[in-house]
Amino acid sequence: MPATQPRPAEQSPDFVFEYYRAGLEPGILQVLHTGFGEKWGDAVYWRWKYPSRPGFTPLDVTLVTQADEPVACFHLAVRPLQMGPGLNILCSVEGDFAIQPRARGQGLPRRGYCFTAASLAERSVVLRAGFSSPELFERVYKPNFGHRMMPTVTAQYRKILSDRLLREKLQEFGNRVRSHPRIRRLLEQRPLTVRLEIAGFQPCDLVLRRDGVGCTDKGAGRPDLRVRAPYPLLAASRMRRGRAIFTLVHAVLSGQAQVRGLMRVLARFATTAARP
Amino acid sequence: MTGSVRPYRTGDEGPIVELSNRALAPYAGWTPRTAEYWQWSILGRPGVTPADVLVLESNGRIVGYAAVLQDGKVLDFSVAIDQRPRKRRAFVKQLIRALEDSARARGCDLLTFSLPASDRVIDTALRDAGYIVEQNQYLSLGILDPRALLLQLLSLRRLRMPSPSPGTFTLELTPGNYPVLRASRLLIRLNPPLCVDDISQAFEYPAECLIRLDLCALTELIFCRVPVSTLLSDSRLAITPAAGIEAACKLLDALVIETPWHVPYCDGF
Repeated sequence: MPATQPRPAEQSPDFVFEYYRAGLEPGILQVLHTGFGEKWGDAVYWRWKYPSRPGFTPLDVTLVTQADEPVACFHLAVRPLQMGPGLNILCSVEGDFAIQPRARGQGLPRRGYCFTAASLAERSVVLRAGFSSPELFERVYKPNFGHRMMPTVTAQYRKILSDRLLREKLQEFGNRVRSHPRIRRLLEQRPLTVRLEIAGFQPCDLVLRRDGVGCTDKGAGRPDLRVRAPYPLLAASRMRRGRAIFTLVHAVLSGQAQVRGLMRVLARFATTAARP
Repeated sequence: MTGSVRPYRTGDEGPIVELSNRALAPYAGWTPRTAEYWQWSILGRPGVTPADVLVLESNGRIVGYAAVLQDGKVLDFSVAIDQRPRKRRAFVKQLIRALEDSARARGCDLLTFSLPASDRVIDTALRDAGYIVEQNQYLSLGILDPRALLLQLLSLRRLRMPSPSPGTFTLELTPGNYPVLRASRLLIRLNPPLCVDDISQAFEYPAECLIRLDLCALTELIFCRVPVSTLLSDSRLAITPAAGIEAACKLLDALVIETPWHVPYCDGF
């Protein structure tokens, strides 16, 4: 039987590999939700992603069962990939691999990869591709599938748009700062209020207390420290060193970054440190 | 200098598809758009409405477009590459601003773009607008059918190659840690007509120039731009006899894909 004919199953002592057919969808979703959680998406999303995709065939979805219970699923999409002028190569882009915890450690990823290989070859597929985190690549894609990481030029650009999320992030930062023993000691007597004026956002007060951190609307009182900064400066620690220094220097020289009250806070530090 | 931004209207898909294909042409790893693919990938996606697709028009022509998910992930973003740099920069900035306004209006906390950092106009515009570059995309690749791959690459590049002597090469492949090896020996003849034959089962085969490597090394050579000299010095590639090294290196160099890799977010998995 040709591999492109939907084969009912490839038998093994424990696992049964089966291409998609109507009726398997609940089992597939169950495995996906166990692996990735409900955030993966619902049945509507799965149907859009797979059966509704132009060019979909049942060979694009494999379900693995053990004693009639779904334990793993593998998904793929066969697409032409453009590789430069006049070069268009047929590729199987693969993902949404999920394995139930009880079936892990038994070589299922590699067996699933091999199970689909024959049908992909019959469909004239030349390459196989996958998206993964560096950790998943090192753990699964490289040792099991022999894949190599492509040197992409793709970068992810992020910007916080809402005051709510900015304050949430500032509060997380405040908690990290507060966990430092010297800061905790500083906060024993009274809280430290930092007024943050980030360009494009409402000014807010980050209040570090002995028992917690809060980030609220700008208050009427005088803060201990007043920081004015452009938004990109908040992420300088995540930038490459050269870029971070450039961002900081540019922000200071252009007057976008200012700190007031620093001497007062340092004096408070010194007083606290001198106290027995 | 700038155009006007409006939501998607039925009939825009033709110019959008054309615009996207042109904008992505300098990259490797993307799926060529057709109206059907675009409809499924963007407009048919659960949660996406025509209002989530913004079109930038200038002089009655679509010069830019972007589609965004409800959670602020930008699915696709293209601005015509045939514009003068100054004008293109203005278009990019205008489209970014429009996306931010639209995202803020719907209460979105975060906007995320996955775009090629090598496009200086887009990269500078996003950094200037306060965007933070956080991570790269991780795409990995394996070769399923080496014969078909080599045939495609050599068919396209044979005319650019100096005619090497010998014109016949035998490529011996081992799987490395790749789980499937469909051909363990390929015969490559460059002299017209070009052919790449699977001779895995042959007992006798030409040995004028024998090239030995594993599938993973071949993947690194073709797609990751790992130089032939590095593979040779790491003993991951062997060429015999020594007299054939120069010709074999020319052949292997011709297989390399130099185009930078970029997979748009909507082509991801």
